[in-house]
Amino acid sequence: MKKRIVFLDDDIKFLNGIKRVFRDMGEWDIITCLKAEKVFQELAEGHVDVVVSDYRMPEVDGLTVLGRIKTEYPSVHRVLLSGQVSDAVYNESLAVAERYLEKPCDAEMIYNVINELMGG
Amino acid sequence: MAIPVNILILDDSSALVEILEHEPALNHIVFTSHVVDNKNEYNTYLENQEPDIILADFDLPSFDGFEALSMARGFNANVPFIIVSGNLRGDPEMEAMRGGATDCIHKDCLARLGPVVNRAIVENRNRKTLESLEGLVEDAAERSLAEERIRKINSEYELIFNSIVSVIIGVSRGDVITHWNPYAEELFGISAGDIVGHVFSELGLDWSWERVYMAIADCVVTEEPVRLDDLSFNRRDGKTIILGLTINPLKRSANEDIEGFIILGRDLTQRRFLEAQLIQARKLEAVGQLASGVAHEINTPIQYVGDNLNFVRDSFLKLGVMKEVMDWCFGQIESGSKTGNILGKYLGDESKEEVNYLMSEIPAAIDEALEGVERVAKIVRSMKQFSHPSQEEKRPADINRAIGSTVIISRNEWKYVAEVEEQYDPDLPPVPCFEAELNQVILNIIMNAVDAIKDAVEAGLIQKGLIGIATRRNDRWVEIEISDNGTGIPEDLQGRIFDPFFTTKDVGKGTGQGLAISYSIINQKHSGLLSFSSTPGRGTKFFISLPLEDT
Repeated sequence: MKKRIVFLDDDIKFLNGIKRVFRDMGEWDIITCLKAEKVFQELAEGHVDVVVSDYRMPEVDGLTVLGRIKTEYPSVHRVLLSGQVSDAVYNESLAVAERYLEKPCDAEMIYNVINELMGG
Repeated sequence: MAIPVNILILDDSSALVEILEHEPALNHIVFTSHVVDNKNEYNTYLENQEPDIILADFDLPSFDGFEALSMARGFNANVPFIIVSGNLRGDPEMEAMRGGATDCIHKDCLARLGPVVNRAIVENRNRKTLESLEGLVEDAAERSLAEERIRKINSEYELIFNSIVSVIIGVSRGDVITHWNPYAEELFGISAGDIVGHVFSELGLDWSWERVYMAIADCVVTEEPVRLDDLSFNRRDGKTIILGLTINPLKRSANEDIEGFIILGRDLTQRRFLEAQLIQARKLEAVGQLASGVAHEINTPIQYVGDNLNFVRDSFLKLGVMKEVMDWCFGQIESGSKTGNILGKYLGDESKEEVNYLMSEIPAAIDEALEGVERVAKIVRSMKQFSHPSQEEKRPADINRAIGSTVIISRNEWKYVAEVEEQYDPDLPPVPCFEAELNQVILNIIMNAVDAIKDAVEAGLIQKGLIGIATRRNDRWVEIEISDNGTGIPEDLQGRIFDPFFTTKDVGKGTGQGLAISYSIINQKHSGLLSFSSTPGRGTKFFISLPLEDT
């Protein structure tokens, strides 16, 4: 079964870039979401392996989204990919995200982190 | 020439006159004598003349010597009064002496008359001299007291004049320097001795004489003190000094003309330096506050620039492999081998799909990477523009661009709570300003708007914030308007928002200096106007007016 990786970010260009760069890396389905609702829709509809979320977004912040996933879908791996450089955000992320990454980040590193989380 | 001694003789004969005229003791004395023989004449004489000596015959028919004596004393307590009498012996004589007579001479002893008169004359002269001396001594004592007082006042005045840590310069109506206190000596590096008495305009200072004389002219016209701030000059030792002067008219009373001016001045150099430092510190603080937001703004585009470039590189590798396969196939076909044809056909379908994808995605990836680079460049440019190096004086600037930069670098602060609508007048002329300081004011107002909008969203007043920024020209002014639909400012606080340390924010969130500094930047540094109108519950509008010409 193909691994399904969900990316959540409020910037379409970021999501386009991720889609392109991950297209040939591993046998993954890359699902990109501009809004948190779409993430939960994906989670509700079917199987998701990893959610990679941005931190600051207009309606809800990434830590809240990951926190909800941790409660509702504990088996789904959670990565925070933040552009916000701050100790406070990092400290908060420890409670809800398994991995913390800062933008900009090599696609390869994102790939490795996801792979490692899935036990690859 | 000696003034003749004036002798009044009270006698019914000229006997006494004759004795006096022939008296050897009086030879050296020049005298005039006047004889009266009745009370009326005597009185009239005393009223109109001032005798130096009175000789009285005691035994007159109409009135006696006692009466004559007391009448004389009524006019002059000290005039020598000598009684000559045929009867006077014993008691009456004593009585006469007690009544104030200078001497009594019996008619038997008229030989005494000359010496007695002589002595009386000398004594009287001495007494008069003494009296006038006493008067002089008294006057002198009084004067020395008054002088002491004046000296004291003078020395107090001098003490104040010398020790006051303000410039005091006196200038006469004729433009001549009359006063120059020690502090002025120190501050200007010019001694009073070198300058007092010289024409003011020949002071040799390189300050703006135009401003100084405009202020003096103002002072003459209004007859009111005129302030002249931030007047700078270069001292002989090379140091630039910034002064704050007040030109005070010198007038004795309301309807008299101005006599000159007292120019009071303070050294504002240190203060201006501290103010500049404070503004610089606030600027750094603002940049610091924005730094993490700006990092966020930059990191996302950097991320997708990198991702897209990786994609493009990988795509080209892929295309390269595909081209090699194609070339091999074409080679096989040309050499008549069927394998190439079959393989080419087989590969063709899958490759076509891949090539189609790459052909559409590569340009898109490049475009988005370029957009990302442009975004980053724009943010970096804005950051640079925002923290524009401090300038000594106003320089013409494109304030639309300046405001736009501030909006860009603060984007991370507002983009999650509000839209920003920018309406810049494209025909705006360059505006003379301190750009970095102006940016700071704009940022400050935007940040306050964001806070007000956050509060309004929390209170359920609005769903989404809106910050409107507009520029326009109004005659010789340029106006900047920044509006928000936040909570507005409560009416009872509206009068205080420009006060230093006034804040409604929680401790640690705001220093309460933002608007106070903004006010001083606009109103003082730019000679502009910072004002606002606010409706509680509806929002606030800030207006900045900047003059197009330097005043």
